[in-house]
Amino acid sequence: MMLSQGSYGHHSVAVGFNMDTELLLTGTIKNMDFINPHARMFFEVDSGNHRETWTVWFSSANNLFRRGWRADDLPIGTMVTVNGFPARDGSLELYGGETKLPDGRTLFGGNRPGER
Amino acid sequence: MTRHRLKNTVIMSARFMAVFLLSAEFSYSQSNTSGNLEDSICQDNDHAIFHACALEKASLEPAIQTKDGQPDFSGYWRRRAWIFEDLQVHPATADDFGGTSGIVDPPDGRVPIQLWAEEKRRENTKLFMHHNGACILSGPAGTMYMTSRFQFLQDDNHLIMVGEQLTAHPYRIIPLDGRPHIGNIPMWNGDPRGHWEQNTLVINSPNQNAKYLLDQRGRFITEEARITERMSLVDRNTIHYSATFDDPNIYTQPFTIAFAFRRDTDDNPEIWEEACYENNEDQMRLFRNNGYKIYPGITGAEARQLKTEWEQRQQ
Repeated sequence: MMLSQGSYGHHSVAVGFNMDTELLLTGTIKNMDFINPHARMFFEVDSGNHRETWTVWFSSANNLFRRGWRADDLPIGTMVTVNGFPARDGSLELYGGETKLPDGRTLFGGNRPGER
Repeated sequence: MTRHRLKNTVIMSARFMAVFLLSAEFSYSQSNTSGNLEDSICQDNDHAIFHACALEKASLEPAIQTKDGQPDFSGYWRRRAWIFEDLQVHPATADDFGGTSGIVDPPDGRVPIQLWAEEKRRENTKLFMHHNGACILSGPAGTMYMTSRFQFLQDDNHLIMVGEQLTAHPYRIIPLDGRPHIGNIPMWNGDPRGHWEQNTLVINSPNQNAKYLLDQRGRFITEEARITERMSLVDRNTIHYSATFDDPNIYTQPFTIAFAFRRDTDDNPEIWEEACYENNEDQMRLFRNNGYKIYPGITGAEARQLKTEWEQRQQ
């Protein structure tokens, strides 16, 4: 899965995230911040012998809402697959990308042209 | 539940994608990905072409007028430029939407920056995060090309610009009634006053503190810069906007940017609250962990000192 749609950050995404690579992670949603300037999703990834809680940064809640997202589209306990650019400082954070839901829907969480 | 770390041989890296994009025909969209936009008599996806068209189409009869016969800018608008990424021509990448140069003067589309300042610009990109990441205002002209959604409200004495997206609700109040400037109190967005020159609104904003970057490529001005903005109606649904930056401390000559605002016809173009500070401290942590600081600005005196030191090093 490639991030075919850009991130187009108002402050440059590349400053905080490594845009030379992508990660693809599957995990269970633990929480969702439907807020501005960036919505965030926290999800738990099972790495075999331990669990990691990852943070995915999205576009603003306003942009997502206008795009048709609602706060309860990503309920706690849902298993999702997320792709995104990893944080440069090694923390468990992504600038996301696409989030694929169990029902097959894919939600794009980055900034679209014109939204920034 | 498994974690997949895609190796470099499997991932199509963003760098490859950027190369792919550069090698393809350079193109960018004027499509309605920016919301629903009314048609315009001037194409707006090439800023120099738009600027020339807008000047050609300028007439003495504004398309929409106030009761006093002045152009009426009231309504919801979307800016049609991504020059906050780079004032100059730049390609689409994973991080940039890309676009043609926003600089219409000088005609080569390049920022006429002094050599010492070009070195400073490059340093800025390595040291400082873009101020917008810290929810900091973008200055009088920067506000216009960083904020993407606006509502303009106009009466006889004011043009009020209310923006969504970026910098915690940027707003500008432009008095049109000839009152004097406030005085020597430095402000992020300056101390604007507007007056009409035929059908063009001319805005001067002294007393700006220059503590913001002009784009994500580290370009900058000092507090001594003179910023002159011009707005006119090309047609009912298009605003021709330009801004001239005159700062002899940094640039070899004044330079002018220009782009379009198009009327937003979304079902609900309403400007919403977008509080910039709910979790931006968390994201700033990511920037700081990579060594980036908030841009502190540079005064005219500091700029002259840096220039002198640079010139001495060249000897």
